[in-house]
Amino acid sequence: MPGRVLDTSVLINHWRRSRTSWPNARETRDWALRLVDVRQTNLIFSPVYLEFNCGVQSAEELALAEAFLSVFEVKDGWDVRSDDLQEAARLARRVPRDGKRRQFADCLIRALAIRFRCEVLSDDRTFPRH
Amino acid sequence: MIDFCFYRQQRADGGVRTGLDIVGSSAWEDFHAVAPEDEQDPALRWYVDVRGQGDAIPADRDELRDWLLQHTGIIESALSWLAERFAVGFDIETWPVRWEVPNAPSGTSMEIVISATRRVDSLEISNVLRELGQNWRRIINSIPRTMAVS
Repeated sequence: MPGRVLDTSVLINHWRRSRTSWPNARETRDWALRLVDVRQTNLIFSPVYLEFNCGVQSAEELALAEAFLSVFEVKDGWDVRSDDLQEAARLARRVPRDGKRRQFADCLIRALAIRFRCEVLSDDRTFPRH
Repeated sequence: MIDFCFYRQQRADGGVRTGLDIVGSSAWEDFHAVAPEDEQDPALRWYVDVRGQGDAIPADRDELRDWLLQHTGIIESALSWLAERFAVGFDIETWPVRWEVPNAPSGTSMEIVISATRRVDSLEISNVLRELGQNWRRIINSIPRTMAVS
C-alpha cells in the first residue's frame, strides 16, 4: 500500500455518496471495498474508527458502520502512546492565521502519521497545518 | 493475476514519496523530505498512481522494473496526454480521477489515478504529470536491482 492512511472525512464522504435507502451490512462492506480499491489503501488510525462510530445515530446504523469499518486495518493497532498525545498537543497549540479551531482527532491522526511515517488522505479543508 | 501500483505523492510540507507496490506489498520506496523534522505535515496534497494488472506483468521486482522501462513510451504518452487535459482545465466534481491507458501492453490493463486537495489547481497537476512523464525512465532506473547473494 502506498503509505496512505485515510482520515475520517474520506470515509464519511464516501459513506454519504454511497448511501442508498435501505442498505444492508454486505452492501456497506462493498462500499468500503470500493473505497479501498480507488484509494489503494485500507489503512486508518484508531481515532478515525472512533470518530466514524461517534457519528452513528441508531443501533441499526451501528451494525452497518461496523461492517463498513471491518474492511479497514487500524494501522496503530489501537496503541496510542504518550508521545502521540504530546505531538497532538503540540499541533493543537499551532493557531492558524485564520484562527480556525483545530479538531482533537485531526491532531492525533497527524501525530500518528508522523510516527508511522505515512501520509494522510483527507477531504477536509481544515486539517491542521503548521 | 499480478498487479502493481507505481505512486508519487506530495505532502503538505513539500515532501515527496515515490514507490512501487507489487500485489499490495511494497517493493521499493523513496522519500524526499523538504521540511525540518519539527515542521512535518503528513497531509497529502496530491498523488499520482500508475496502476497495472494482468498475466503479462512480472511479479519479480527486477523484471517489473525492466518491464516498466520497456513500456516507457506508452506511459510517457499517457501522462503527457493527461497533462494537456489538465492544462486546459478539468471540471472535476470528485477526486480521484481514474483514466484507463489506451494501448496498454498485451495481456495487461493500465490506469492512471490522480487525486489532489482543493488547494491544488489543475495547472499544478498538469505540471506534476508532465514532470513525471519526462522523468519516468530516470525514476524507474533509480530503483535498485536486487543484489544476488552468493
